Amino acid sequence: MNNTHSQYFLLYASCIPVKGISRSSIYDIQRNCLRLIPNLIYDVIKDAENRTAGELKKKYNNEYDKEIDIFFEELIEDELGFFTDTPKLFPKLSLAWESSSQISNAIIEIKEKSELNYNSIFSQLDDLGCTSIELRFTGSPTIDFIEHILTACNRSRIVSISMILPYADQFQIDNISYLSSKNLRVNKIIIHSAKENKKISNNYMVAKIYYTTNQLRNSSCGQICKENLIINSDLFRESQKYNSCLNKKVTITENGDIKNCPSFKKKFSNIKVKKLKEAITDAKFQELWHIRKDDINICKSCEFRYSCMDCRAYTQDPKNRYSKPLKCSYDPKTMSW
Amino acid sequence: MEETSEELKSILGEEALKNLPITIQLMKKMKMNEDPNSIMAFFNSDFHGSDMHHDAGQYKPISTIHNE
Ligand code: SF4
Ligand code: SF4
Repeated sequence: MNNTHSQYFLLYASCIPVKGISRSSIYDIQRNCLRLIPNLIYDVIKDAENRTAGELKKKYNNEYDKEIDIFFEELIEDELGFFTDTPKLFPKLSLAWESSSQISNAIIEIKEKSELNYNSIFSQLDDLGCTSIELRFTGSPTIDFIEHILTACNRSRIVSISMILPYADQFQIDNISYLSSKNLRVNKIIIHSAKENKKISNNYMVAKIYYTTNQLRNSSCGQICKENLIINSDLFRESQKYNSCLNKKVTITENGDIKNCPSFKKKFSNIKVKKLKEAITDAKFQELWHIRKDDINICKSCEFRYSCMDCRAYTQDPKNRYSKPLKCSYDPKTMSW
Repeated sequence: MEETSEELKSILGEEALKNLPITIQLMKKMKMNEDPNSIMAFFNSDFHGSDMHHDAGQYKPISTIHNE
């Protein structure tokens, strides 16, 4: 490592360090993983950005030369960083995030014999650029009705559909697999209130199918746990400026109310009397889109803040709009879940 | 660095801070490893994010109503 004395140590542009109160992390947004590091190493990495390795060691009074070498060796071995003579040739990645869609994702509550015109709802979502939808079926939907709804999405730009269905005897795996094989945009089917827990996923099906004995209600939403961390470039960049759950999201409830999410009381008119396009341009509707993890109490000092979803419906203190999500058990101070 | 040293000082006490090599200070601070000679412990904790959403052109779940 001695020949690195006059060189600069840099992390690869796609490996981005994020400091937390008790430890830090390096988000590798190209390989979609996250590496935890002590805050001290975060400080060393930051210090190294504008100093050669020699200057860096001198800053620490040459007391920790060996340790600094080990840090860098480890980071290089894990393909997180490298030495260079020309740091200016390696600019940082732009973290700007843009989307051409006015709405990118939607939750639609669906019931059979509804008076809502689902064809019109899908067509309006299509006009807004929506590409992902979650269909929450209530009541006792039949396979034919579900197929009818999926057919209505056929000519849209929707690329991914998740479905949540209450268990019924007709939802045996054969029927559900058949439904999924005919509708390749469906990537997740959750059947709740089932008799047993099971997960079906194989190479022949796009969709993953889950049966859960839990009864899923709107109030089941907002769960944040370490198994659900998501590390990728889009979410990392979007979270820098926007709310990771509610940004560009719209909900249409089973009676047509237009909301940010099904768990909120506040509605912005009804689809029967107002076009989605008008409802979502209301400044109030978009207010929550701008609450970032960096604004939220406790979360702003968490090393996972750009990899977890947010929840504004269930928070520790409902009177405080910057309160931590209620259903996250992680404490960044003690680093325990 | 200043801030971190202060943080360590408050956790370990000034004397310990002077005598311990930095790797051991870190070990103690992080309470992560039984073997204080191994710096590797810091590099063992990796998180691979949930991958189920990427493959279908979606980069995040629409809701968190169900945990996989
Ligand atoms: S705000 Fe909370 S309850 Fe609403 S969709 Fe997001 S995670 Fe679910
Ligand atoms: S504390 Fe906040 S930022 Fe950290 S994991 Fe929980 S919800 Fe996410």
